[in-house]
Amino acid sequence: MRKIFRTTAVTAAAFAAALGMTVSSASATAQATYTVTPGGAFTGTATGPTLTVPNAVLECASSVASGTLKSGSGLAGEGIGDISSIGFEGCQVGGIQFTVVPDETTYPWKINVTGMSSADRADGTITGIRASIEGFSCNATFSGSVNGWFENSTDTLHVTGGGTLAAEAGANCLGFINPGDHADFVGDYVLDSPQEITSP
Amino acid sequence: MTPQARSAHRTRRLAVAAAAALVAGLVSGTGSQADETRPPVMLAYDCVLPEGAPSGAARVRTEVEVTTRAPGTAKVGEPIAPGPVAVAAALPYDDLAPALPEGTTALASEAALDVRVRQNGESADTRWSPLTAAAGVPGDDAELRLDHTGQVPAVTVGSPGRVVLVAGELTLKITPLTRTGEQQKQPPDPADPTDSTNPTNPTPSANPTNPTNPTPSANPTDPTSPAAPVTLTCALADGQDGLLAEVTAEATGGTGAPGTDDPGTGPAEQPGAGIEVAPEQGREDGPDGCPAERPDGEIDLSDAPPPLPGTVLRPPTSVHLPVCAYAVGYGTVRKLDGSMVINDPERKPALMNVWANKHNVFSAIGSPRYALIGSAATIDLPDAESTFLAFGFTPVSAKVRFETGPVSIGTGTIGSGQAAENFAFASFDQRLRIYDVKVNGTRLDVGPKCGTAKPYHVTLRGSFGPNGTGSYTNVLLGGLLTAKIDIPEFSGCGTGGEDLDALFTAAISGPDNSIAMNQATVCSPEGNGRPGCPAAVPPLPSLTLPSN
Repeated sequence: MRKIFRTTAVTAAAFAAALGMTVSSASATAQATYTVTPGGAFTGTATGPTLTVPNAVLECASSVASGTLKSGSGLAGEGIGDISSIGFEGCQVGGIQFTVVPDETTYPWKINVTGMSSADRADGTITGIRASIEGFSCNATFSGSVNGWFENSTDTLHVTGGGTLAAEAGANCLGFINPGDHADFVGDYVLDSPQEITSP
Repeated sequence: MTPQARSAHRTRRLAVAAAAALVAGLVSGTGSQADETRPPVMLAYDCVLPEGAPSGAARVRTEVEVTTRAPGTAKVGEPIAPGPVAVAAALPYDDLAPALPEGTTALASEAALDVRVRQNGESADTRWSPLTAAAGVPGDDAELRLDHTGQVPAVTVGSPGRVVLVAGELTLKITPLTRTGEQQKQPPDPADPTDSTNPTNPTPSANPTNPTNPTPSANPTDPTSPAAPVTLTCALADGQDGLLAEVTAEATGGTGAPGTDDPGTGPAEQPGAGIEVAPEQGREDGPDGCPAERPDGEIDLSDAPPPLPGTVLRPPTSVHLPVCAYAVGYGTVRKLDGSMVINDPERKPALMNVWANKHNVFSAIGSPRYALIGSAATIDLPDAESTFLAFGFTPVSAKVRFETGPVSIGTGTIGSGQAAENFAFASFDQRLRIYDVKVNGTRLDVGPKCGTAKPYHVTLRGSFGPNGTGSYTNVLLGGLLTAKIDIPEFSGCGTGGEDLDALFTAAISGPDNSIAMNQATVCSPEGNGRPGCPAAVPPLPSLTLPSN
């Protein structure tokens, strides 16, 4: 495996050089490390998070997520933090209530940093998500990942949708959600204490 | 005074009396249904037990007690409503227990009784279904009693004579309920065409894409879960005649029932020869009681509140979710200070057929929030019969026909967070027709086209209240819907050159009349576990409406 990686990297570098490019972002990102200050336990609260599927927009009044961020420098982006619990309140679609039940066996969900768009913005993903929505004539389980970014200046984890989050087989919710439907989960989780993610 | 003059004079007096009665007050009537329950009929059945029963007891004697409300006499051409009926089945539990999974704590049963209607050498078959019951598990050596109840189709005969209702085959579909987590797997019941676990059954699976997923409880808070049902097929025991009721049909004069010359109206009541059985609601059309026909009328969502300024809307979406529900209530005429029952739950209430989520509008991400879920529906309300009390003691009766157009249903939310406001409405155009007006038992001929000169618009709205404390929960779970309506002037009233329009207009027409309908939880036959099915008939709302 290590030999294959080296061969691929050399080939890619040679290919890039042949194009007059410098070997930069890909390999640099793969090797990037991050500093989290101060790290530790956090609780984030989002107002009005939404789950958008092709046929409907489901929303909740609020959501609270708790977890931890690693502390210190030289940290790998993958798994730089985790979410160990999440809850949703006041969820509905067009006045029809439902509940969101996270699959606790899939905790912790991983927080991963994939790069810095700016000194204030650490881009990344949340992976390992699995949760169900339940209500009258509504049962659907979603699993996958979402994209997002952490904003240092506001201590906010912006969950922006995308990723692989989709409804699993058996999803059946009022005709709105069907198996395989991609879901964009969007919410801004404001942390209860200052955190900063930087990259040297 | 000539006979003609006396007749005209009498007509005027009756008309005045009717108008006075209208003004004096209105109370709900009981309709043509029997006022009293008949004594129960005891029948003996032999039921075939499913596999798993102890050898030598493949059949079990089941005592069945059938109680109807069939009237002793009825009019030719008018529906005879034998329901609601009760069918109590009692059998030894020990004979049934081996066919049930371990951990069974309770039983839910659905009965279907075949009934033959006979008169003057003719016959027609109907089925009383679904009749539902629930029971706990009795102790050892005890009798299991399943008290089924339900509405049944009405019967209309076209000629005078003795009408008899005779019981035929009885089917009991018994669903064991086990403690959650103790659910036992059972093979599908090939004898039961309604068994969704039967792979040869075209009935949609509760979860067609995941056949290994157990059917969840219809009630998410119910600590029990249903297991595969056990179906008993029962035949009348030897020597049983199955006679349930006898009704004497009497000839009648013209009813003056109004015609239905407007779109979206119900059929006219025209007596004809033979026996006519009202369609069994939903069962023959779709699973668990919702008609298979999809309401395809246009949706009028103009009664929906608008989005907040600056809201950006996504393109509308449309999905197909068939549901159905009962809604029963009162119409209150302000000038009469009285109410009449609409879709009387004690008679044969009409089922509202809904294509839910047909036209849906949601706001875009980042925009002020807005959600509107629009559904199309149809309902053919039965005629109401009311009795007006003149001066508190002179009875004046009248039948009211509701000609109801396509129903548009909307539910949604404006804004988000604490400021979010939910809304729900059901709107339609409706026209009233009045016929069979009688004053102290004497018919006042108002003609076949006596009614509102034009349709009026009804917008029923649900009140959510803060934090879900309102009288309406949501469009699926139902609750109280209310409306204020403006009844237009009447036209077409009177015969023989006499114009009664002004009388009815003066007595009834005007603003601030109200409708209050109690909507039951919908039946969602395509939802996992078919929640809410079969559709239940809700109780009438309180005449004292909440302020919220």
